[in-house]
Amino acid sequence: MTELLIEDTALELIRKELIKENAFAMRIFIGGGGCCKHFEIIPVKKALSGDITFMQGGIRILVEKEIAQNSSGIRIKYDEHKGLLIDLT
Amino acid sequence: MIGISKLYCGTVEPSDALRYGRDSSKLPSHLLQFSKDKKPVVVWNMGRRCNLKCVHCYAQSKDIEYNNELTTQQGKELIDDLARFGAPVILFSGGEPTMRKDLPELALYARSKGMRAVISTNGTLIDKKMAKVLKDIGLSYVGVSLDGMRETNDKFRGVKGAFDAALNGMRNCLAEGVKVGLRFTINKQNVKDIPAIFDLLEKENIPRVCFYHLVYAGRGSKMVEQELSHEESRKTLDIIMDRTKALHERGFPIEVLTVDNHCDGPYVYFRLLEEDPKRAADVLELLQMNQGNSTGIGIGCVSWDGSVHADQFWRHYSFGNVKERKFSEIWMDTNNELMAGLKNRKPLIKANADRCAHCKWFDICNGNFRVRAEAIYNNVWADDPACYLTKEEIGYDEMK
Repeated sequence: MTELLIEDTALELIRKELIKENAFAMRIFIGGGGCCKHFEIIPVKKALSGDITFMQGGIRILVEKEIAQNSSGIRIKYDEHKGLLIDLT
Repeated sequence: MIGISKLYCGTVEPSDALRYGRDSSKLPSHLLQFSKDKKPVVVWNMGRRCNLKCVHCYAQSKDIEYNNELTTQQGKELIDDLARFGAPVILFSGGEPTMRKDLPELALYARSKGMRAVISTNGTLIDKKMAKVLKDIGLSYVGVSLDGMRETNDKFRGVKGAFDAALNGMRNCLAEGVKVGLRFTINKQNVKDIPAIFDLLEKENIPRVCFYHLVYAGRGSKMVEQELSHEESRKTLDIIMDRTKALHERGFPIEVLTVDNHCDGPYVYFRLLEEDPKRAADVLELLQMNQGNSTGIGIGCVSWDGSVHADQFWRHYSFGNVKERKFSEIWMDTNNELMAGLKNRKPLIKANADRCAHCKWFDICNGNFRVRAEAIYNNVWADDPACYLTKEEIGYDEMK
C-alpha cells in the first residue's frame, strides 16, 4: 500500500490551488507521453477508475494508479526555486 | 501524444518516470508541476550531422561537419538554464545525436541537474560498446526511428542496410537493459508495413512504439502528397488499435502511442463509446487533462546553432538564440506575437479556422498542429488539414 506524505508548505500551496479552482480534489498523474512523461498535478471534479484517494490536512489527493502501483511511498515537498517536488520510493 | 494502449486498453505500465523514480534517493527529486504552469519538455537538436539521408528529415541533415553548433560548454549552460527553469525532460536529438562525442557527458550533466534525459536516434551507430555507454549514463529511454520494414525503411533512410543496423542498435540497447522504443512516421509509402511492425515489436520484445503522423516541415514539407487521406488515417488508427489490443490480450502489454495529430484522441473515444461506454467517460477526462497540442507551451526546441523554436518542426521561425539570451527568457517572452499566440491560441484559431471554431473537441486537441495549417493555408491559425474527424463527429452544426 502506497503511503503519501505532503510537507506543510507544499500542502498549503496545493490547498490554495484547490480553493482557487473550487475543485473536488487534486490529482497527481503522469503527464505527457512516451519518452516525455513527467509528473503533473491538476484540480479535478472527480476521481477516475483506479485512482487511489488520500486525505491529508482536510485535502483530498488522488493518485493515478500507474504511480500508486509502482511505489511504496510518495513524498511531496516544496522548494522555493523549483516549486513542488516529488520523491518516490 | 495519444497513449493508445493506455486509453484504449487501460494498460498501466511502470513508465520511465517511475522506473527512474526508484533511484530518487540517489538523485535530485522530480518536479511536480501544476498542469497550467508546466514547463516544456525540450528537444535539443544537438548536432545537425547524420549518417543517413532520410527523405522526410526536418533538419535536412547531411553527413558533413557543421561549424555553427553549440559547444559542450554552451550545452551545459543551456542545461543549467533548463534545469533552473523547471524543464522536466531533455530530449537529445539531431541530426544523429550519437555522432556528437560529448553526448554522454551532456546527458550525464542533465541527469545530475535532476532532468530526465532521453535520446532520439536512428540507432544505426549503437553497437554493444555504445549501448553500454548509454546504460552507464542512465538514459531513461532510447527512441529509434524505423519507417517501415527492411525495403521500405532503407528507401526512406536513403542508405541500404539502415534497417538491419537500427535493429541491431535496438537489440544492443535491450541487451544492456536500456528501455528502447520504435518511432515510425506514417505516410502513404509505409502504412502497409504497420502490421509487420507490430509483428517485429513482438518478436524482438520491444516495449514501446510511437506512430508519428506526418508533419510537413523540412524535407517532410515536400512530402505533403505522401500524407494519408482522411479515410486512410482513420483505417490506420483502427489497425493500430486492433493490433494493440491483440498484443495486450496475448500478454504482451506494449506501450503504443500516436504523435502529432490530437484528433486521434476523440477517435479513440468514439470507438470506446461503442465498445465500453463506462471506460469512455474516463478516457474523455484523461484527454482533457492531456490538453492537446502543446507546441510553444509544453514542448520546445533548441536547434544545433542555439536557435529556439516552438517545436522541432518550426525551424523556419526562431524566437531567439540561447547564445544571446537564455532559453527561459525567450520562452516566456510573450512580446513575440507568435509565442503569445501559441500560448493562448484559442481566440486566434476560433477567429481563423472554420472547423476548429465549431468543434466541440477543441479543448482536447487545442487546435492540433499549427505548422501544418501554415504549410497548407499559409495561415498559422487556420484549420489543421490533417484533422480527419467528420463535421458530424466534431459537432459542427450543433456548435454553429
